[in-house]
Order: sequence, then C-alpha cells, then structure tokens
Amino acid sequence: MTMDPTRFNREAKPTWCPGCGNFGIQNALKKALNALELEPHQVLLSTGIGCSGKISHWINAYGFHGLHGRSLPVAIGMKLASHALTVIAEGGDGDGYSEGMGHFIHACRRNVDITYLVHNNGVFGLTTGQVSPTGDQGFVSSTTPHGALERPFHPLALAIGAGTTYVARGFSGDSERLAGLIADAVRHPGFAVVDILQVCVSFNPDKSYKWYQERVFDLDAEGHDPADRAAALAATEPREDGRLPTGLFYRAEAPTLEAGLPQLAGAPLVDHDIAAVDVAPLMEGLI
Amino acid sequence: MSMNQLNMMVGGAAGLGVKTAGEILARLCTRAGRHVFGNVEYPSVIRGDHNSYQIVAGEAFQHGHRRELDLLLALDDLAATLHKDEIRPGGVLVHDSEKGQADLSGLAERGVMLAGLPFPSIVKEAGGDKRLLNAAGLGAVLGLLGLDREALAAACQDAFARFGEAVLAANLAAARLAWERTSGEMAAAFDRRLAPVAAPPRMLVTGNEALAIGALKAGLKFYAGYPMTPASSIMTYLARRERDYGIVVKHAEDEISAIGMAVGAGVAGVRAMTGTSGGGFCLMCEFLGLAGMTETPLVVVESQRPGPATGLPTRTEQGDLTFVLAASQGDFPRIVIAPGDPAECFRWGFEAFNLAERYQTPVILLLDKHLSESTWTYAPFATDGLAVDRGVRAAAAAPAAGADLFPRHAVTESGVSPALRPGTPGATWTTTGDAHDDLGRISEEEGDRVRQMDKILGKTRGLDAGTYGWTLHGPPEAALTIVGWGSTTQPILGALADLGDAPVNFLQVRGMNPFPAEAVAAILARSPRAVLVENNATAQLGDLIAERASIRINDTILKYSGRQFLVDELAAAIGERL
Repeated sequence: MTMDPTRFNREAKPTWCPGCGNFGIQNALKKALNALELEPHQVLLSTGIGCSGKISHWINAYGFHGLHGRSLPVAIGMKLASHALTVIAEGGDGDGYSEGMGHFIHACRRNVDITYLVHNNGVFGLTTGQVSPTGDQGFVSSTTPHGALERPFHPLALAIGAGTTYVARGFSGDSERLAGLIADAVRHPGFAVVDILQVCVSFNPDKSYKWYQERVFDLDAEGHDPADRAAALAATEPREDGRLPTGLFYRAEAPTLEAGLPQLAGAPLVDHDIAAVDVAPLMEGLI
Repeated sequence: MSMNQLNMMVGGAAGLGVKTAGEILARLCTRAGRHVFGNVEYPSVIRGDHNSYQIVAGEAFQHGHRRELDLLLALDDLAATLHKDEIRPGGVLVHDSEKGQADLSGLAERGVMLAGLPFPSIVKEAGGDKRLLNAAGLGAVLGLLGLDREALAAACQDAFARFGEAVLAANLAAARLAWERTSGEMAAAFDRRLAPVAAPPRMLVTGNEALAIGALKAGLKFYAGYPMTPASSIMTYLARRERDYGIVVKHAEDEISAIGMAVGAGVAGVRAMTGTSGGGFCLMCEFLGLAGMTETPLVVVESQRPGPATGLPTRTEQGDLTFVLAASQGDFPRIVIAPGDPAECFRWGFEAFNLAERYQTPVILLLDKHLSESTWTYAPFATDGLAVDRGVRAAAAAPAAGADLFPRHAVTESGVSPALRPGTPGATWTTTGDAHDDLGRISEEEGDRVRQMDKILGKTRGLDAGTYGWTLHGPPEAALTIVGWGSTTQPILGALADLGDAPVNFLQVRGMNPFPAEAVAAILARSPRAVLVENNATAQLGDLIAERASIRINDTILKYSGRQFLVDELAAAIGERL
C-alpha cells in the first residue's frame, strides 16, 4: 500500500466553516497517522461534542463520537481493553477543559498510553460563541455580555502539574509542524497532550490566522529543554510581548499505567478466550 | 423449635469487630451443616455508633431474619440496650458484667439468661486490649453453643491464623477464657447447640459476590467503578482477583468516568461492567443513553440504598425502580432485571452479558443493600448450560456497497446490526451519540431519524420477559396473591413458609423492562385479592404494573425505614389479610 495521508480520507465532507482551524488539525492528524505508518483499522478515535469532536466522522479510522467533555474516560476504557490499537482522544477547549476538566486531570496522572488532542480556540463554537475556560478575561460573548470575569488558565501548566509525561502545543495554521508533534505524541509511551491553538473564524475572529502567525514561535528555537520541568512550567507563563510558545514543552519517562497491569502483558483483553472461564475455585473459596 | 435452629446477633460499636465476629459465626454455622442467613446493619461511620450482625441458622434454607433472638452478644452497653428486648424467654444475653452499665432490669424476670462476663479482665489476662473483645465474645458464644475445647481452637485457627501466630495466640487465649466461663452450667441451661449435622458443602455468599462470579463466568474483562455502598464490594471482590482472571478493574475518578471507561471497553469489544448505587447512577445517566444510542453493549449494576440524596447510605430500600426505568433523556432500549437472591444474582450476572451483546444495548441489574450485602447459603452454583453468546458478528469487515464505511448501524430484520470489532482490517466504522444514518454518520434527515429509532426500539422485541421475567411461587390459584420484586423475595418466601398451608401465593416480578405484562395481568386477573410488598414508600412496582398491565393494586405492605422486612413481621402483615 502506498503510504499517503489520503488513506485517512473519508468521502464525507466536513461541515466546519470555511477557514476553520479544524481543517488544519484534520490534515495534520492524517499526516501524522501516515508518518506513523499506521493502517486506518489500527486507529480508534474517541471524540467529544463540539465542532472539534466531529472530526472522527472525517478521518478514516474507527471512530466513536461520544459525549461533551467525556472523550478521555472512553479512550482509557478502549485502550485498556484493546491495547494494541492506537487510541486518540480528541475534543475542544469547552469540551475538555470545561465539562471534562475532572477527567483531564486524572488522565494526566494516570498515564495510560493514549494521545489527547485539544482544539483550543477560546470559545464554544457549536453553541455559537460563548467564552471558554481558555478565553481571555474581558471576552464579550452572549453569556458574558459585560465581559468574562474569570481569568483563563493555561492547560499545559495544569497538565505538567498533574503529572503528564508528554506536553506540547501546536498551531492549526502550521499543519506540518503540528503533524510532527502529533506523531511524536502518539509515539510517546504514556499520556500525551497536544493543545492546539486554533482559529475560530466565526466566533473569535479577532484571533485570526494573521494574529496567531505574528505571535507563535517554537520553544525549540529558544533552546528550551523539554526534560526541564521547571523550565516547561515557566514556558506556560504569559509573555510580556504577547508571543505564544509552541512545540514540545515537557517530556518525561515514566511507567505507563498498563505497565503496572501484568494481566495486559500478553494479548489484549479483547483477544482473551472467554468461552470457558473456570469459576469453581471462587465458589470453593466461599465454602 | 429444634435445638439446631438459632437466631443470634452480635452488636457493638463500629470498630469493635462486630462484622468479623458475625462472619466467623456465620461460617462456623455453615460448616456445621446449617443453612445460614446473615444480615449486617451498620451506620455510615467508621468508629462508634452501633453495628449489628444477625445470624439465622437452621437445617432448612433460611430466608431472612426475625425479631426474636435466642442469643445476643452485646460487645458494649448500647448493643445491650438496643436489642435486649428482642431476646426471647429462654434466650441468653452475653454482656460485660465488669464495666457494663446497661440497664438489664426485667430480663431475668422474663426468663432471659444473663451471661455476664468480665470482658475487660479477660482481654487483659489474654495479654491484649479491646481488640480481643470480639474473640472473647466469640468464645463465650461457642461455649454456650456446646462446642468443645478442640472445636473452639479449630474455629479460632480458621478465623485468626491469617493474621499471624501472635494474633492467633492472643485471640485464642481470650476466646478460651470466655469459653471456660460459659461452657459449663450456662451451656447446660441454654437450649441451642451447634453440633455438626451432615450436609453437603455450601457457600456462604452475598448477592454481590454471586453477581461478580456470574460476571467472571460470562467473560467479564473490564470493570470500572467508584466506591459507593452497597455496590463497592463488587469492585473490591473483582479487584482482588483481577490478575488471576486476567481482567482490569479500574477505580475511576467519579461515576461518570467509570461508566465512560466501561462504554469505551465495550466499544473496543470486551465484556464490560460498572456498578454503583442510586446517587452514582444519577451521574451515569448521560452515558447510559449514549450506550443506547451507539448500540454499545454494557452491563450496569445499580444497588439501591435509601434516597433521596445521601439518604441512608448503608441501609436498604427499593426506591430507584421508577428512576432506573426512565433514566436518561430520550427513548432507547434498556433491559432491566431485578434478581431476587444470590442464585439469581449469579444467573443474571452471567446472562446480562449475553443480553447486552445480543441486543447491543445497556442491561441494568437492580439490586439493593439487603441483597448485595446479606449472606445466604447455597450449594456451588451449577455452571453447565451457561453458554457465552456474543451476538451477531460481521462475517467480514467490508464497507457497505457504494460507501467507504462499514455499516455499523445497518438496519436488519432483527434490528441488530452485525458487530465489528475495532482493529479488524478491511474497513472502519464510525458511530455517534448524534442521530445518525445506517453508516453511523450524523444525520438530521427525518427518514434516517425514524428509521434508526424504529430499529433500536424494535430490536428487543424478540426478548420475551414472559419466559424469564416472573415466577409464581406457591399454588397457581390462591385467595391472596403477594406481589413483590428483588430483595423482598426471600423474606416473602420465609413469611409464606411461616404461614404454612394458608391459601396464598407470591408473584415475584423479575423482568422490569421488558415487562412480562401478559403473565402478570393473567395472574392478577385470576387472583381474588392481591397485595404489594415493597421496600419503598410509594409502591413503585405497583405503578409499573398499573402502567404496563393496566391493573392497579391498591393494597400495599410498604416499609421504608431503611431496613428490610423481618420474616415474622411480614408473616403477621400477610396473615392479617387472610
């Protein structure tokens, strides 16, 4: 089979707005899966609800489009049940950082070998533009007509703090570099988060492609050492010049959750023969 | 009453080892060839307050507990005060005669034997502290029941050896000192014995244990949960055995995550289960609907406790039936089964997975604290004839004609679409909690919506609850028909046994959805009089029967104090209607 990202194309066309950042992320994901030399059937996507979550319909892979904020528990169950598959959870900032925040923190400390891609545009797109937890303080939206009072938080600072072993940030307008980060994240053994700065042309138009392009830069260019946790946390601090670092913030080696489960050392659970389980010893134990 | 029929209780503050002593006694009774029923009552505290463990033992199957005690082992004053009036004339109270302050006036006059023991001195002489109190109490009880010195040593060996030699020696010393005081004259004056009788080996098993074993037999591979009484012991039972049985048990961050993980595991193709009580089930509702919409096999255990809100966290009630039947938005098929005892928990703990995969939809097993945590005795459950049925699977992973997707939600005659495990080469599928077409693609077309709704709502049509969803106990025709479900089954059967040849039968409803409407209607139509027995405040099964079988039963025997019906209490209430 020719190795070509189009292997991951679906016939159906996305319903995203023209110019949506999701197209860049979709392309980057296809390129990454191709670069990883995966076959479509080896990939299982668990997505949330929002414009971002619909991506599972437009990538040729097994896809489960579930609930708002809940892509991670589903992905963890998938991976533990069928660990030979490449499992990717994906959703938006409203999805994962608002409704799904509890799952996010626990996924960070759990270190299951899955990848989490977050389309981060600072707004709820599908519900027509309310401020998200990463939206700017003062952001005016339909639910914050007088400006958002809460401060945004930095998802990567939280991810590092909660024990994530691979923490990166990409930009939807640079799908080549984003593809590299995603492929790297999938290769990483453990929970890998890629927060993706994304343009929402309809509901956050002030942060346009041009706006981002003037600000994003690669941490690598500053000689950042991703093994340095303190430096990684420092890199999540807002910069006076407003520039936005992207690239690999932090990477650590740590045992995956699966490594602590000897019952997963052999065949995936899904391949176990269940036709004749012997429970006689259990009943004997109750006598 | 036979000298081998015994109703005894251990009572004391949380932390005194009431449950341990009760379990040891229950196991001793079982090994002495008795059938046993054990009921544990405890408050939601770790230290203090009052715990009790009641053991009913005899040569016949024991359905439940009764008020009249033959023996009360009071490990503290509160236990003596709370339960002394339950001791029958001729029964015995084992209490602390050294420092105990409970008012025991009137007991001797009623013919209750006072077995006062200097517990503080006994545990001191045994070289320990109040941690030996339950062993001393155990020794006193075994002395009263006529066990000899060797049998006492064997019982202690069995109970305490696993804690190491020093612990065993201290507990045995305490037990022996107490035994010496009760095994002579006191035992001679007490009319109950625990001499072994010939009987086949029996398990002492809770509903949760039976359900977990049934699930393992069915090939359960993944369980996720969040601690919540009275469902927790399913998770702890499975977790201890996860390596032996090659399964993964995950304590999730909350119930939403627990059911989400189970859904993910089900999507990936393994048999998955989650369990909780009503409060946790509230959090699970959205995922329940997602499993229905995406046609994902899933087994959920809901072990009820009294609500609303935190309610009575460690007590029992059947108050979630209406909720479970309607939980989550929209219409989707759900199979809801309420087993009545551990044997049924085993059977349905197994069968639930076949149903979930055959119909690709959630199956809910509805238990409660009484069924989850009480113990009964059974011969090991038969496993022959239990066949794993994984439902319709795709013969080949091929895309639908003219499409690039495997038709995950293909409309078929049965309504069940062939399953295809993710990872299978040749095609991929997509599915979604959004309304979708046959290919799992989001669709808001009216035709697709109606077609897929008809498909999922129709697919359980072939499941006839008339064949499994009810049991009529007793004579087919009777002057009075008791109607109940779930954990009241055994207390009702016990009450019927008490009532002897009275013209009464008992309709146990097990299939809550689908509902055996025709069978229930037919039985009620030919019964001159019916009464609902439910462990809730509003007779929820009564509502369900009215809705599905168009018969309203107005007479009710309801209990919603957070405790299960006592057999004698129920026999009296039924007797009044005869």
